Amino acid sequence: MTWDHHDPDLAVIRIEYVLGTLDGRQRAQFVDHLATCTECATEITALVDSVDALTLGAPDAEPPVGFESRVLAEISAATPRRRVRSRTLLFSLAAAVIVVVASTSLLAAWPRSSRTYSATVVERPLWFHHHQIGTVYAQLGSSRWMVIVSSQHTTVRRVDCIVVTDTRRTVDLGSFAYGTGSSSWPAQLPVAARHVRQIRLVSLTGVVMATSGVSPWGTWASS
Amino acid sequence: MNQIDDSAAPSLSDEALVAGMAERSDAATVAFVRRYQRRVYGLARVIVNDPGTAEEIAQEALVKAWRHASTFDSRRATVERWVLTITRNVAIDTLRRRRATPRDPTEFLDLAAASSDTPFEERVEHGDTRATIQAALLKLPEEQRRAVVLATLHGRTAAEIADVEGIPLGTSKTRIRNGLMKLRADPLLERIPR
Ligand SMILES: [Zn+2]
Repeated sequence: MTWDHHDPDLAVIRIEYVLGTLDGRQRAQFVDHLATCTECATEITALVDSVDALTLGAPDAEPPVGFESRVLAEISAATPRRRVRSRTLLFSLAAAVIVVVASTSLLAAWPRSSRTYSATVVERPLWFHHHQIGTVYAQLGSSRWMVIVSSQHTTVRRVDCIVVTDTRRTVDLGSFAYGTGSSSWPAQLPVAARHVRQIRLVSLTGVVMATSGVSPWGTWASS
Repeated sequence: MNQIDDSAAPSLSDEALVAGMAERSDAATVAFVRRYQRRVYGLARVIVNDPGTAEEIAQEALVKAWRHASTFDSRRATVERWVLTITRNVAIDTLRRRRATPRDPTEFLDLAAASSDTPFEERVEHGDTRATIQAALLKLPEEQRRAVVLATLHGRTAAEIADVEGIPLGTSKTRIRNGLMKLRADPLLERIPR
């Protein structure tokens, strides 16, 4: 599908993409276009910026008595539970198969000495133009397994998974089925997870369909 | 694990607090929650009508920020934008999931305008972020302003806005588009820290 950049409908599509209200078919078509169009990519970034800025306009309000203690109690209670859950999730996912991507220079910065997280599972979001379209789970420590889970709708049906290491080496982990919605894909990393700088999913024509770390704010909330 | 000193945490930068939370420092977590609870609860209150629901949203947002602290990237956003965007997304999810009652969008600006004794123009002049956002919104015609707040803060689709406002779908889409395009081009918003 070709897109007329002077068509007011394209402005509406860009806005609905940013607001997350495009229907599946339109989203798939626009995702394919966005993967190769710098003009739309720039516009999307500017729109996301404007939309996010509106949250800064809200006035402060004093929360009810006891709010702070309730938040801190939930955080305190969440710490051990979460570790168990993530680990279970990783192993159950490893039994499945398929998709996606992502990355992160942050893996390299993960606190190795932290007793909470040493030898446990990290999760990193996969991004495509400000939308989180999946998650990568990887295990720190000696294991080199990761599982990529994605839910992107696009007409791209296969992608290569590329790992970039902290020494800037790129390793192609091979191609896998993609683009039809939810899929998961286990793979062995070429290096330990803490040495992974980025993971990318690239279409067979060379278009980057997902990376992690592109836009860390906001969509966390949907995880 | 607690390398951040209790007494030092409140004076640390936002970014340092988030880095401390990522390492699960209790002192950093407490300082972060104290610093941001009014901002987060304030945003939740302008999106949903019920104070109890707003409290649940604010709590969930702060816990999410803690949980995902290690993935915060200061090259992409300020801590304030990051945590408020998380809050907005939790609020939108809650509105959709529970069919909770959203707050009337015009109250957003009334609340905001009433939140300070200093005259509005003076606050914009002095680079007050909140006043600057409000000023940019106030430049829009009222119907566009309502549509933009409903679409962005409340997460309403064009069809839902058409329904709520009693207007045709095409009109709803036009209002959202025109309003957002004006905001996107407004030089006022370029003054806001990213
Ligand atoms: Zn384009």
